[in-house]
Amino acid sequence: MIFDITPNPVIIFGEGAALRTGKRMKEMGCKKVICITDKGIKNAGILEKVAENVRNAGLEVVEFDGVLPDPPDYKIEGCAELAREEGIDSVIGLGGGSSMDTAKCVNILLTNPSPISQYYGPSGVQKETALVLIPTTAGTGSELSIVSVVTDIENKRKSGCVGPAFLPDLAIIDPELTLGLPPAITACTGMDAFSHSAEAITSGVANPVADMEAEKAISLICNNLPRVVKDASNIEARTAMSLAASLGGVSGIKDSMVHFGHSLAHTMGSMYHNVPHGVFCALVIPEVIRDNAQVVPEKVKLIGEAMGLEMADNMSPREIGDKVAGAIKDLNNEIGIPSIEEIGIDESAIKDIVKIAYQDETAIFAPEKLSYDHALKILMRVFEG
Amino acid sequence: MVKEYRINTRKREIKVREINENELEFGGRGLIAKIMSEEVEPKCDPLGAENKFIVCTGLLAGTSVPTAHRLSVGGKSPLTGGIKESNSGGGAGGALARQGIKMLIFEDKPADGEWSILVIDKKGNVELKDAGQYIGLNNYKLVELLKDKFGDDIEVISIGVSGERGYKNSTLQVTEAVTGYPARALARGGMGSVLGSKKIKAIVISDPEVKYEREFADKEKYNKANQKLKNYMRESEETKRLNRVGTMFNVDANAPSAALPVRNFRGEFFEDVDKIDSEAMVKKLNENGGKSGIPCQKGCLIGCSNIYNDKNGNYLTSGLEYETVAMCGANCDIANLDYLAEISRLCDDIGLDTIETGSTIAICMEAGKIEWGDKEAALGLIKEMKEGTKFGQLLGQGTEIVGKELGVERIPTVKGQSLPSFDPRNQKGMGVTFATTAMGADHTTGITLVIEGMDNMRNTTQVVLSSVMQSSSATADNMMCLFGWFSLLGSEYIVDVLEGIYGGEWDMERVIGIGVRTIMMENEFNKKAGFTKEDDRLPDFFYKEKSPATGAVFDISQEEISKVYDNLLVKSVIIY
Repeated sequence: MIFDITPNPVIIFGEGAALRTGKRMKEMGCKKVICITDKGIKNAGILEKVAENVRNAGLEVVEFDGVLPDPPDYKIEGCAELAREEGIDSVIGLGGGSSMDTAKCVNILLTNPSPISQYYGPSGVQKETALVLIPTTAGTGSELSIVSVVTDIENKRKSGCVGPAFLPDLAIIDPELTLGLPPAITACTGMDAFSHSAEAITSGVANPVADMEAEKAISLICNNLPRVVKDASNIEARTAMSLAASLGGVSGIKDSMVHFGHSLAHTMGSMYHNVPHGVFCALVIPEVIRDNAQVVPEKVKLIGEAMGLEMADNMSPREIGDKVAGAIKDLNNEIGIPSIEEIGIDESAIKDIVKIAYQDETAIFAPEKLSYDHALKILMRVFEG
Repeated sequence: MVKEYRINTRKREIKVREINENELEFGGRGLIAKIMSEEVEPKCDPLGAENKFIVCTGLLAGTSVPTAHRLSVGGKSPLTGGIKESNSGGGAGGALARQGIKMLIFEDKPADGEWSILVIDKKGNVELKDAGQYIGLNNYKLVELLKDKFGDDIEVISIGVSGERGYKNSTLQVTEAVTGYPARALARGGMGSVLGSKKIKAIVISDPEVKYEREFADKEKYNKANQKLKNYMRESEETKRLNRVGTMFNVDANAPSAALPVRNFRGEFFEDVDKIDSEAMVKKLNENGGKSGIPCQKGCLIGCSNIYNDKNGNYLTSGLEYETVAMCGANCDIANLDYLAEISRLCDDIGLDTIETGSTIAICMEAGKIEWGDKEAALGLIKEMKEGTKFGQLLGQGTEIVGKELGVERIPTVKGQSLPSFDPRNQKGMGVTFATTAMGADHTTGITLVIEGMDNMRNTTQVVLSSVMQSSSATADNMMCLFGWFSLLGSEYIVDVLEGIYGGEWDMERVIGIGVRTIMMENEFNKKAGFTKEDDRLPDFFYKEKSPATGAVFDISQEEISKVYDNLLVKSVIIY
């Protein structure tokens, strides 16, 4: 097997790390930065905290708090226009995946022509300005991924850009920023990270490096996600979740690649905007992994072991799949992930979802090529609960 | 043979003893530690009769090794309650060496309260003389009058009113080369008040008619080695940097990592740093006819000092230093070099440690006694100390006592002494040094900022770095100026120099061993004085408050800190 690993950006990790933003950006030679986030982060006071820190280091800061969930292409273009007008030389993405993905695209558009759609899919586009990503959730892993997800409004689908230019120069991971996350968001973002990791292990492009990262992430999530859902202020568990999310991002969206779980979650996300991406990840991942056990049972076994399950040597692929899928569902229940019925998606939507999902960019990374019927079978199991 | 003078200040008796200087194991700080260990009760009252005030030169005194005439004073500190050695440049060390004097030990305490000066005349006579007319004077006027009386070719060690009044932040001032002014400070630990407690206002050292020539085991070997040492020192980057802007390069180096203390160690960036950095100082020197690259003692190749003139081009102060600018400036939210030069002059004149003073002013600002950044009010506090008002006398007791009196929680002291101008969250090795050294928070006992590119905000390696730099610095304090020593790092010429002077076989282990043994004696003294491992700790707020500029807290455990002196010689020699 030959595999290649794109280098990580510089990572600053730990409680209070966000306070090092200004110092590090000054050292990087940045002078005028746009800080891209959403209203929630602004209202939580996190934008002001980071912006003040950067200003105190002697940099100019332009604040942009207009990020929308599942970032639509027009918002990215608008923000990029503002950044170009302001003469910005560096970009901070502060928030969850939407803010960081918006920032990644804006940074590209600072020195490359619009529209962003021309960079969808694998892209060799280069970035010239500094990009700093600061997650405020523990889930998306976007801060260490080579992907930026964009909602293509005209075609009503989630698309995205993939390439080294979508990695930041600096990822600042500060678990303190996640302390204010409500339990429901904590739970679903945590399961996003779980999906990145579990899919990384069973992916068609899996490799030992990504396996190692993903196994650690899964172990951290299983041990800590229930703790932070119960006690939002547990900084030790929050720190473990921040680490898990970053490892999930590295393994699932850089060193290896997510596959059909994310194909489904992307598709459902583009159809049901009011449901967080992580909820879909949590709902579909048990069945995707159960299915994967038929193709790569030993890899699913690794997932089970990382979850702390007893996985006997003589287990059949079905037994492996059932055990691991069951344990993931138990985890979902423990942390309060809503069911398909609870989020109000009707079975009638199944075929529409699968039609798009099995052609999603990530579907090609499944451990075996999925037919429409096969994909349909997986999603039907999800709806069966 | 060199002379040791013991001056009994109660009996007014002076006894002299000859010492074979080539048998000395220690000089400067080590010699003080040895005498303190052997002769002074560790639990004694620092301002009482049992304490001693020791003045001495280093192991290289009487040679032409650059910076060899660093002067040390020591005793038990009234500020920390522990052992204290304070050292300085200036001309007094060289003058003592030319007189063939190794050491002056002031003992006991006069009952009558009559003040004296100690005068060493051109013929080498050592006498106590009445100081009546000089009492109440501050250092600049005092030195002027002493020169009028004893001639221009004297060097003076003196105290201002701060030392007379027993202030715990009082310095001794030393006249310096080039300007002849009392601009060099034996600054830390309130040692001015120890000499003051013995009712000695000044020590006057005349240039002798016949210069003492020290003995060398192998003069030729010494000469060759010293020439190599000088060449190395002259070419070192450390020398060039210090020659250019002196210690002010520290503003440039520390501000970007928020190690420059701001508003009583808030851990913030200083927004007005460009008004007090080295570029700003060079501009001021050029505007007002000042100069950098000035040596404070003869034969110094480094020349880290400067002459800072006022707007009219008249001399104001010399050696405007980083510590003064940082502690009385950024730490008080003040960014005005002319003002800080005025503070430097005033503190030298009265005899106030600018580190302790700046920290105390910041504490008054923290308490709301005066406003942050209020220059005039800050100056007013110093004038209160000068005039000896009731509040001024309280201020003279140092930061910790003032902070407690004003109900301040964030008091940046260790063992009673103010932290110098390095925020320990953002320079952790310095924090280890501050926490552990027997001197109380002191930067010169172990500057850890020696490895370029090292992230000193990390907690790894900082303890061992402090260990090594503490033994290295203690070794330097036995023989030369720390800057001279630093300029030699990477070379071992000092080994041949010491062989040429003292004979026998030397290697770096033996050299560094001098510093290591010095530290051990000091620690033992402090232990007997009542200090415990619990005292080796920074103030709580450095562990709890994140530096807003970096997010860092001081996160080195006490367990790790407690290992700083374990296997000290082995660690130090391996690194060398």
